[in-house]
Amino acid sequence: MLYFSLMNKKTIVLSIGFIFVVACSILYFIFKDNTPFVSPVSVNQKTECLVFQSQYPERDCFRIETETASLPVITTKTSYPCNATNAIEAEDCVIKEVQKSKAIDKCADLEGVAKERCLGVTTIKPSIDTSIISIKKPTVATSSQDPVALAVPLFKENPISSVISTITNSVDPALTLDGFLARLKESYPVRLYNFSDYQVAPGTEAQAYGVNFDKIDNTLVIGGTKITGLASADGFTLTFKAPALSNGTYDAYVENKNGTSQNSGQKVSIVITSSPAPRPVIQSASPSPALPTDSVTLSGQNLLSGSNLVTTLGALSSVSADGTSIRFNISDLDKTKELIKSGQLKGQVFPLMIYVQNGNGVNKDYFVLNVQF
Amino acid sequence: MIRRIIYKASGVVLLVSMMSMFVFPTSTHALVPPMTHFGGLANFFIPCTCSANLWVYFTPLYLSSVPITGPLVYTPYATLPYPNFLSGVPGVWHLGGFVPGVQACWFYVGITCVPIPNYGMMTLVGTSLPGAK
Repeated sequence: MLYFSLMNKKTIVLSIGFIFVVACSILYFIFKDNTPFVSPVSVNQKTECLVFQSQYPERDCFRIETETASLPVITTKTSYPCNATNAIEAEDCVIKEVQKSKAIDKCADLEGVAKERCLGVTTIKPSIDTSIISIKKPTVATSSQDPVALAVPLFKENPISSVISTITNSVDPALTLDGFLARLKESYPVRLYNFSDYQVAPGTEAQAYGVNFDKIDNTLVIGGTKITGLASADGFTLTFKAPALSNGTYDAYVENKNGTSQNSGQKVSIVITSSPAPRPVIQSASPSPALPTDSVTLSGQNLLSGSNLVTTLGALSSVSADGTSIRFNISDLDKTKELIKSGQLKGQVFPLMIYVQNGNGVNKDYFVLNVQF
Repeated sequence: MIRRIIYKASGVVLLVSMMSMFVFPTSTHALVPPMTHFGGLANFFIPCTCSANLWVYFTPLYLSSVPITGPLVYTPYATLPYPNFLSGVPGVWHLGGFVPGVQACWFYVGITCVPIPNYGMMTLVGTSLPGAK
């Protein structure tokens, strides 16, 4: 206090600012991200020499691997076992920085700088001849299977420009779109979701929708009747002709090299009939927007008595209807009470998506009723 | 005299400290398009019974600096989970990346599956603990 009393206001403000900046700096150094990254190299000219170096020689092993495009990728995976094929021991450098020079004689200087900062240095010199690529290893006992020697052929199969462009974009493959799509495909076996029409006449063309359909060869099974050799250009759609079966409701599934969509717990069905009935259609709702306590009337076509309502706030079964209208209470839906109680949507308009399901099928497009919470 | 020295020294240190923020910028980890970031507070979820994932409704939902509301889909295995691993739990803040426009939530309605629309599918997500503000 004595210290502050000796200073004028301006000095106090500056002192506070100084303390703030010092505190920010300390926090920055505590929480700063130490993850190695590769500096972008937008243009690679084969006359450039490149030196990769690291500030983090203490990191665990990284590896040189081949990605889907058959390009070598250097990744930093700390959990990668050091005795694995293509692993480079912990004493080697993790790629941290890329320095480049068009002057060949500068390569040695760059290499020298790199040596000062880490134990191992990777150098790519300006030539397509990959025999001069050197990955110098520090004091690590050499094994019978030298991982570096195993890694070098990867470079030999590709021009240096390919190597550099890949290294420049080297991020954890799991975080890329390709990685995500690969996981998505693995997580989804083949699945059949629905048909373009629920009721179809024998011999008419229809579409089946799902995921992981094979591009060339799928088999659609309807009531035990197999429709083979169906192609799917997008992997999501199959076009087929309804089989000549007697009128009735049949379970359907798809088989291909990815597996089968057959699921006894969730049977996807289709009606084969000589006189297909149109799907239910919802055209309007009253009141709209509605309150969570409101009773809502949906108007449309083929809204048969005993229809089931499926909404994003819950489902209702056997709802009374007269063919052109159907009535229900929003508060009867499971999630409505929870959301009113929690107050999380208070003041918000929630888009309630509604499907009506009955013997004629399900409305093709969902109907949206705005609910004011 | 002491005041003047303190004053000048403080000014110099302040200036140098502020400049150092530009000299030593932090690294960023942006997602590669079409993946983009999101953040939001989960209100409730619907199990997508056909597609085996979760339709999670967020209020607010930040896809930009402007808060909106809406759903995203969490797919086990395909969506990378990060601590605190409470994806879809009501009252928990979420932060992550997603791919816009992927309609991946299908709900079973007794005879067939119907799509439940959403903004997209999460590619990675981390969460707060319940009750965090």
